[in-house]
Amino acid sequence: MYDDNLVFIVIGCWTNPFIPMLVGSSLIRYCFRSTSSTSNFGLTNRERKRFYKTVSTVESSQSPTKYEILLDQRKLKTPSGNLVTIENEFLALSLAHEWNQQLKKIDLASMHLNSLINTVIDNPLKLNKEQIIAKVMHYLDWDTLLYRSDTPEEFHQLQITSWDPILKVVNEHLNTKFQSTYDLHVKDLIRETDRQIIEKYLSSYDRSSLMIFLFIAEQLKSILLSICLIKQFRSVEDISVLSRLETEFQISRWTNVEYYHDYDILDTRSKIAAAYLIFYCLNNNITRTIMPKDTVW
Amino acid sequence: MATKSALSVYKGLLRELSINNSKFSYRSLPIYLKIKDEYRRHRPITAKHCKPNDEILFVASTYLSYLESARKRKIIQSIYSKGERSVQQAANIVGLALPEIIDRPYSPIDQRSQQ
Repeated sequence: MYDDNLVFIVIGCWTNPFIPMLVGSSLIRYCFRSTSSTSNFGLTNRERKRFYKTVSTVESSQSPTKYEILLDQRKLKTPSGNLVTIENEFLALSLAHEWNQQLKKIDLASMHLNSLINTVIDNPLKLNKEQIIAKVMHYLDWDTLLYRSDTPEEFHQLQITSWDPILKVVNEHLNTKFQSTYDLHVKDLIRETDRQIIEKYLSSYDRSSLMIFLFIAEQLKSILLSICLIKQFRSVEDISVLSRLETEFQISRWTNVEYYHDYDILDTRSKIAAAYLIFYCLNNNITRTIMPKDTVW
Repeated sequence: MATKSALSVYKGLLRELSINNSKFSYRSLPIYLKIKDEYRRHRPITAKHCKPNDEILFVASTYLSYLESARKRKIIQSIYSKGERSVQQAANIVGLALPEIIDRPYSPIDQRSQQ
């Protein structure tokens, strides 16, 4: 998905040094002025300098209200060149804030709101709704909450006390009958009716929301936990801990290694928090603030 | 199921917004105005349209959690991304120095035998 842009810019640099400047002034992309190697497709985590001074949000259309992000005078675009337009004001403002937080260098790897919104707009794998649902449903067969370990005994108890309430809440809410197992060779652990219920539940959302849902499920390795988060049964902090219960148990036994465990949990937490915010904003319209137009900071 | 109170989440958000904003006060940020506005709008009850309790508060604390964890992750990365310290650096931290190694240059034996 990136090679077209990249090839164009790289060729531009060889033939005429002014072409990339012209391109750069109107378009903002990941692969902006990537001249070095053509094999990384602009996806490297090479930090770029902050090339803009002010970040602002503007209303691009009145009804329905849509917002665009401006970096100085340049409109923010996705890697494949689509304009970033957001219908929700809170989401637009928080995305703008994220760009504004990049003080000296732009660290794209830490900008989860930005990358998720790009993915939703671009749809790089060209998935339709059914394909995404099929991908999400794949996680149901291997849901973290359902396959448990009965040794050691403390861990066994910990799983029961922390995961059973989640199962109970989901079962009550969706009228399903999910059951956990300690055996990997159980046939038909997920009943066909439960599968249909989950599928029906998922199909009530639109494509963009489902992409976000898939991202959350991929992070948590569990559909049931994702549903729990979406329905606000547990906070982001709790959910991220519950999804890596065994790691937490081992930490309690041995010790916490900051640059591995803390890094990992913070990464998961920021990812699912960003994903949840986008999911919420796609499905709920937070009321508009009365503010002077084109506020610049 | 938000555990923090609305006020502590609000304070946390302001703290996160004011970090890294040395040039300007966070009061000029549109996102701050938005959050303030939302808080005022939902002051009496944090549930919107009689939806499940604390719905907006949940979103606010999620945003707080996002800002916080993204920032802390960056800090950890900046500390540990440079690889491990050398023995010398580690010794310097605790105020010690490595013993100086007296090492004469290697003298080639082959040449000497030829002479």
